[in-house]
Amino acid sequence: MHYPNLYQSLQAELGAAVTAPDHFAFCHAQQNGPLAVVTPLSEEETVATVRWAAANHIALVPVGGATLLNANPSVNDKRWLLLSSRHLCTVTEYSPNDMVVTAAAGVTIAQLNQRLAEFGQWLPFDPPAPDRATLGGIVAANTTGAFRTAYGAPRDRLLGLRALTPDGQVIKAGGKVVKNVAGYDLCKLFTGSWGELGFILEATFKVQPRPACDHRLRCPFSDPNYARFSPDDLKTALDVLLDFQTRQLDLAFAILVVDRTVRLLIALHGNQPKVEWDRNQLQSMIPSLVELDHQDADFSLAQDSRIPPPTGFAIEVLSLPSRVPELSLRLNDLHPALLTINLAAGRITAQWSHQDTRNEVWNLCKSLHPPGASCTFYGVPELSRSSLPAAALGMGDAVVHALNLRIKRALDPNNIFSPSRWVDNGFETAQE
Amino acid sequence: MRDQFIATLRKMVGEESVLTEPAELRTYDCDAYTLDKARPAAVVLPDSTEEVAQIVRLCNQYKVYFVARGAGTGLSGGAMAMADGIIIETARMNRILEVDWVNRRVVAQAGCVNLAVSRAVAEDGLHFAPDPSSQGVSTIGGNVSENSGGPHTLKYGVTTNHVTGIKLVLPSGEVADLGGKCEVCNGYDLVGLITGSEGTLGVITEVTLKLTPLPVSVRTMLAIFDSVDSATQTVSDIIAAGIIPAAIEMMDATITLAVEQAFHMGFPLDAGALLLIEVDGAEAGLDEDADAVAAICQRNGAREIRRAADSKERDLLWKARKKGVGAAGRLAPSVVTQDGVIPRSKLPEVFREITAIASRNQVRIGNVFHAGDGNLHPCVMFDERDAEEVKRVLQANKEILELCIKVGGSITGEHGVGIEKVNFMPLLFSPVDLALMERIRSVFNPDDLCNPGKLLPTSKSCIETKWRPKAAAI
Repeated sequence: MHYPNLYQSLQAELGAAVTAPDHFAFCHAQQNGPLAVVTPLSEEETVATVRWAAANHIALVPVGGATLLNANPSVNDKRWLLLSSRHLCTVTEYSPNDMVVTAAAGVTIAQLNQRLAEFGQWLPFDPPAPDRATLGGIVAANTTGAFRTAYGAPRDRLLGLRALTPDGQVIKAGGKVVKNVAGYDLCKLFTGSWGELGFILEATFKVQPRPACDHRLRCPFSDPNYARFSPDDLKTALDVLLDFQTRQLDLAFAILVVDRTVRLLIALHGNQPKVEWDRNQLQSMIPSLVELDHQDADFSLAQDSRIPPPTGFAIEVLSLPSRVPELSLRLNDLHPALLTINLAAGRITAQWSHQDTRNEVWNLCKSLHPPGASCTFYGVPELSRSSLPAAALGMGDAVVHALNLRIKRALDPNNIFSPSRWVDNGFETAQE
Repeated sequence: MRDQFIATLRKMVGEESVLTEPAELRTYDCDAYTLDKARPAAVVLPDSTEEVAQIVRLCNQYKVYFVARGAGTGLSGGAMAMADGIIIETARMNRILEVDWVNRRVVAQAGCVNLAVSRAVAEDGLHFAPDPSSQGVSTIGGNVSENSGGPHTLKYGVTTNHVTGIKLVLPSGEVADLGGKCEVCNGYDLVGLITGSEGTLGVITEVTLKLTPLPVSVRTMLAIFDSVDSATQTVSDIIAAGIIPAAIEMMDATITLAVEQAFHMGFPLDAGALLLIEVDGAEAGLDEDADAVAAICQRNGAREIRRAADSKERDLLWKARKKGVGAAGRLAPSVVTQDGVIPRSKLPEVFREITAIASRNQVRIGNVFHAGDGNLHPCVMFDERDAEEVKRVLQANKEILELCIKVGGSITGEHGVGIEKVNFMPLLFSPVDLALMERIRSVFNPDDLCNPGKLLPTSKSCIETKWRPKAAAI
C-alpha cells in the first residue's frame, strides 16, 4: 500500500528523502510492512527523523544494505519506518600508520576495503553481499563470514562508535585507540543488538595488513558424476574438518560447501614461506587439493549462503565445533539446497529453495538447546519466532532474558527502535 | 546492626571465612593503587557461587556496600572498599572446573590465577592469551572485571576477546549465566558488557575462556637505542609497515636502571630506551618477519639488536619487562603508574611532552609500557609522606591524561578507571554518554551497593559526600 501524501508530508517535515519501500522485497512479504523508507543525507536529518518518530510514536527499523533485513523479522503491530543509512557514506578518518579507520554507518565493506587497499590494509569482514553490506549493518548484526575464526568478529575489531538514542541524542562509545577500558563497553552492547538500542551513525575499527599471500584451494569429497553425494562423503569431509581442529592448523578458513556435491574450500594467509609450508602440509593430508582463483563461484556461494532465494528460507546455526558434525548431518537429513559448514567457527548455514520443509527445520531448532547453540532465521517473514522457545534462539535463561529486557527498556523506554525484533520478542516468549 | 550483620555472615560462611581484626584488614586498605585507602568493615572469603549469592543477599538486607576482590593487583583502586562496606575476596574460589580440549574452552572460578589456567593446558599446546604483568598472581575474575591487557595483546587481543561466558551474582543476589562456551549467544552481548565493568555490575564467580594454540615458534629480540625518540619512531614505523608482532614493549633509561639494579641483566645504562620485540607463529616465514623488524630498528639507529638464543634467554628478557614497574620501587618509596592510551603514530611527540611534564612538575617519571598498542605506563616516583610532592604527582598525572585525550587517546588502556580516574571521565565522555552508562549501571545495580563510587563520576551523591578520594582533589 502506498501513501503519497504521507511521503510528501514526511519529506517536508524531515528534510530527508522519503520513498516507498518498493525495492525491499522483505517488506512485501510482511503483513505489517513499513510506511516508508527515510534516507537522510546528513546526521542532522537523521536526528530530525528520530525525534519526529519518537514524538509521533512511530517505530524505526535501521537498515543499511538490507542484506539481513529478512533475518529474525519482528512481529509487532506498530506503524514503522525504515531508516536507511545508505547516504551516510563518508570515510571520516583513516590513519594507516595507526591501522585505525572511522567511517559513517552507510559505507559498504567493499567501499571501505577499496580505500584501505591503497595502503595494503583491509577490514577482514566477509559478510554476504559485500557490495551492499554496510558497516552499520555489520555491527548491528555482529556479522561476518568465513574469516571470523582467523580475524575475529565485528565485536573484536570495533573500537568505538557514535549512535543516536531514541530521544535523538548522539552518544559516543569507546574511542579511536586500539586499547581502551574507560567506562562501560557500550560498543559491545550495540554490536549484535539488531538495531534495537539506537541508530549507529559511525564506527571506528582496528584494521589489518593484507596478507602478503592469499592462497585458495579446493578439495572434492564426492564424485561430481553422481546425481548427489552419499551421506558417507559428508561424514568423511566432516572428519577431515575435525582433524584440522585437533591439529590446530593455522588456516584463514576451511569451509565445506554441500549442494549436489561435497567440497572443501580452504584459504591460507601469511607470508610466502608460511603459506607454502601450510600448503605442503595440507597436500600431505589431502592429495586431491587443487588451486583456485579468488573469483571462483564457490566462494561467493559460501559467502552469500544466508541470502535465500525469493521463495525459500535459510538458517544459520552457531554452536561449538564439537557439535558441528552431528548438527550438520541432522540438517542434511532435511535436504537443504545448500549447506555450508565452518567447523572451527562452529557455524552452519542451510538454505532451502521453498518453504515446505520449514516445520521440520523448526522442530530441529527446538531441539538444539541445551547445550548452547543459537539460530538465526532468514526469509521466513510470516512465521513468528514466538513459536520457538527463546532458549533455542540462544537467549539464555529467564534471569538473562530479564536483564536483556531491562536494558532495552532503560535505553529505549518507548520501544522506538526495531520493536520486537530481537530481545523483547524472545523474552516475551520465555514468559509464556 | 553491624554486629548482627557480621554475626549472620559468620554463621553463613563459617568463622574462619570472615576477617574483622584490624591487623587482618590492613592488607585490604587498598589494592596496588595506594594513593587512596579505606578499611573495610569485614573481608569475607566465600567458597562457591551460592555462598557469594547469599552474602550479596545479606548485604541487600542490611544495606551494606560490597566489592569483589581477587589478588588486589588492580592499579586504579577498583577493588577498594567503601568505609563500612565489605570485601568479597575470591581467593578460595580458585578451581579450574572444566577443560574442553576440542572446543578450546576452559571454565574456571573467579579466584583462579591467570597463569594457572595457561599452565593447566600447556601440555596440550594451548594457553590463555591475555598476559598482564601480574599474571603470576592476578585472578581471572579480576582480569575479566578490568578487561586486562598485557604485552601480547598486540597480536592476541585483550581479555574481552577471550571470554565467552560469565557466571555473575547480580547485586540483587540472583545468579545470571551469561553467554557460555559458544562464540556467540543471542541477545545483547552481556558478556562483553560485564567484561571491564570493574565489578560495578555484580560479582563474577566463574568464567568461560577461550584457549589459544601456543605459537609453534618465537623470535624475541632486544633493540637498544640512544634516544626515546628513535625507539618510539621505530614502533610507529613497524606498525606502519603492516607488521604485527606478538609484542612490542619499551623501557626508558630510568626503568632500565631499576631493572638492572634488580636483575643484573647487562642492559646498557647509557641507552636512551630499549625495545623488547617478539614475533611468533609457525616456524616457516618467522625469520623473514623478524628480519623485517630488525631492519626497521636499524634504519632508526638501533645501536645493537640482541636476539634471544633460547627460551631461557627469552624468559629472562620477559622477566625484566614484567618486573619493570615493581623494580621502579627501588628508585622511590612510592610509585603510581598511569595507563593512558594514544594513537601509536603519536608516540614520539607524546613522549617529548611527558618529559616536559615531569620537568615542569619536578617529578621523576620512568616509562615501561606496551608501545605496540600505544598504551603508556608512566611510572611517577615519589614519597607519599611528602604532601607537597603528592600534589605535584597528581598534577603530573592529570597533565599526562589530558595529553592522551588531546591527541585522540583514552585515559586507560587496561588498568581501569576505578577511583583513581573517575573524575577524568567527563573529559572523555559527554554528560549524555555518562548518563547512558549510569542507566546501564542502574539496570544491574539500582541501589548502588555493589562497588559504589567507581568508574562513573555520576554515582550516587550520598556516597560522594561520604568519601572524597585524593585523586578527586584536582
